[in-house]
Amino acid sequence: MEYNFKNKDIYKYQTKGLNESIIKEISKYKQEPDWMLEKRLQALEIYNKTPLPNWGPSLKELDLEKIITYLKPDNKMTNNWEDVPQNIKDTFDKLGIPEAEKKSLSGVGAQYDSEVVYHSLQKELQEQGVIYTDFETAIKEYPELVKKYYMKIVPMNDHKFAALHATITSGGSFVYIPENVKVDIPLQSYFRLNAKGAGQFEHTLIIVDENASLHFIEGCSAPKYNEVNLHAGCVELVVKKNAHLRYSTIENWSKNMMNLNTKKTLVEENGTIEWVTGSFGSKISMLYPMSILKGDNSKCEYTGITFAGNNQELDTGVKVLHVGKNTSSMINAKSLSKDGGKSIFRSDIKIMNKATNTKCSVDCDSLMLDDISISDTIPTSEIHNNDVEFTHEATIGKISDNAIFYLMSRGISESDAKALIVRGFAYPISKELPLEYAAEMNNLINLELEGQL
Amino acid sequence: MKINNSPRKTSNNFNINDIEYISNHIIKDYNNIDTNIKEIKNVDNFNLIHELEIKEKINYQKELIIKEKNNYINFNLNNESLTEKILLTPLTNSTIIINYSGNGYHNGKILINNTYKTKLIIINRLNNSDNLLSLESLCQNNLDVIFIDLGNTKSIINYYSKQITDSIECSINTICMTNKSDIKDINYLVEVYGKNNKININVENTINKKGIKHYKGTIDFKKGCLDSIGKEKEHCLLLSNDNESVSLPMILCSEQSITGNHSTSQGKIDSDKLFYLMSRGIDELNAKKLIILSRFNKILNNLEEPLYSELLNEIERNLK
Repeated sequence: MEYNFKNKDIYKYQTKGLNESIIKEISKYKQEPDWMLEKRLQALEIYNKTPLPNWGPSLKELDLEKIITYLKPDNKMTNNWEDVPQNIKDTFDKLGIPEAEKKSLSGVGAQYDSEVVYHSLQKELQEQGVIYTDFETAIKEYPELVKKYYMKIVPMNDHKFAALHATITSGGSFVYIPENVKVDIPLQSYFRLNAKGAGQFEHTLIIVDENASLHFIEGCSAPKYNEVNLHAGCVELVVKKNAHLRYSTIENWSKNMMNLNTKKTLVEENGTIEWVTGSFGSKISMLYPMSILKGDNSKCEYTGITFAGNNQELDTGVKVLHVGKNTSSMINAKSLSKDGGKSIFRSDIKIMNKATNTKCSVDCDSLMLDDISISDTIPTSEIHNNDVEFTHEATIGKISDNAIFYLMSRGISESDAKALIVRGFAYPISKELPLEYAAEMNNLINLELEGQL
Repeated sequence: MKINNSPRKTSNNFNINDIEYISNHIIKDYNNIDTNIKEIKNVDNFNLIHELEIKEKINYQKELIIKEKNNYINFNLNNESLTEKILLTPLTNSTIIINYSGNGYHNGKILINNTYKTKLIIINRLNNSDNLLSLESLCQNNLDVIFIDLGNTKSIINYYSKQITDSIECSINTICMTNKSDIKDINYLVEVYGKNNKININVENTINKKGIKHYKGTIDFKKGCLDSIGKEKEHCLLLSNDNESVSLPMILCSEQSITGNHSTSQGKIDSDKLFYLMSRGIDELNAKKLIILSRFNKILNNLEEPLYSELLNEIERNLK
């Protein structure tokens, strides 16, 4: 699949930079309720006061005054692909979204630059009370639900880019799964950033009510430019009592993108969150999905892979906060680095003093595919009670010469042997994805190995 | 002042990037050194690359020339301050034991350039004291460093090791007991430059009664350290419910042809093991002691008598 194709910019409206008057202009253009504008202005104040993080990759290349902060394509959101402007429809056709919708999804949201252009949901799910709509519609039609959770799971003062997001957010999805409803076929949102020098600040809020379940898939891509693009989205997930949510992401932003996304979930009693993450794109990434295991017996599983290629610094990982009793978390992360790429894995685990009978295991394996790349593992744990079982292990190294020799002795070329071993290395993650997405992930791995991305 | 900085910063939420320390101790002369080392020279001021940056008057600055196989240096503080700066120069394969006991204030800096195989054992038995130690080694031959921290102290330890020669094997073994509101802040950084090097870090911690332990252990494989192997293991037994244990074992890697792994495990004493021992008629306290000592023994077995028995007794007293 090809990702690096560009459409001509045809926009109805756009803003550049960030200040109070721009925020008010955007809010007025979107016809938002007053409470939403108040939140934006509150966030702007926090953003201006908060310094950049003093750890992680250097963000000095980022100049927010040069970023296009809001960009509206010339169309309205529709639930019929035929009504989507041809150039945008062609984009999503090339990305395989309409086809995936027909074959294997129960609903799709497609965002193009700052706005959602297409949204659909299977009729059967609508009849069961499932809500899957764009975030702007949710603000107007389900304000009480949105207000209850919006920027509460990820507080605005969490860090500078959470505040930035809350200031300038546009687009994104809202999902509500009512009690006892099991959505067996995944829902997907796909985010495409087409414009040069633009930012995408979508907000995803998913609430899975008691005894319900959902698999949600998020995909993203952008064409490559010589200017910096910025992604500072926010994902807030609420998993209520006895509910189950799997959140899968295949991230393939272009290599001029700064990906400073924030994802957090709050899990209540007996709830389970599963993260499945593949990070292949971006020039710089700071991405640490966080799970707050608030309810007793709540669980978290994280399976993720990061592939840092030429000119990429991917600082990724996972955070878990154990608060309730009898909680457990299992983290399995893989990272690859090639052609001078820098791959940094961080796990941040905190076990509070009332989180008795906690079990947590963290496993990170890193493969370096040449001698010009860098791979760092930086796991932190903080424990405040003694009724825990916590283990962390990490390995780092190159592809085994013995394994390559074995495969080559069976007539496989060296490059194919390496690709086979790398795909095997990534298998624990790809097997958690639906077949089409596993195939896409394997394809991305192949492209990275060939140096085509 | 923030000291004992992590080689790579992490989220500030964990308070492990550094530790805050204020020193306002009065430093007088110190001469109470007990050693069997015969050749002790005056030495001009020398600098460590990674020392704990508390600038104070140095009250003992010497070069100790090591010519014997077994060497000891005892510092006993009698409500005194000790701010030593020592250059260790081994001229033979040797064992060097440095022991700190008594009570007072300690801020020591030790530099060792070992061209011979060396075992360096540093024991902290200070009571109700602040214990700051900067140790630095420029490894040109095998170096085994053993830290045994039994003191009731605020202990801030920084050990920086640079392995520059090919085919050497180094290790850091640590026993650290944190009791009764002690604070122990440990920071090891091993930079591997030479080819075919080995580094093994093994840390055994216990924390009891509101103790606070912060551990950072970093193995940094630099470009060119082909075929080197680095292993790090930290194990922490949490003996009560009111402790704080923060760990940051790091691997940094700029070289493809290496093997690195690290692990950390933290938890209470295994209830199955405890049950087994108690079912054999051993009371709970002694059963716990046995389990803890079994973990420490892997490191204590590196010591010879009478030091081995001396420390074993002291650990048992500590566990009571």
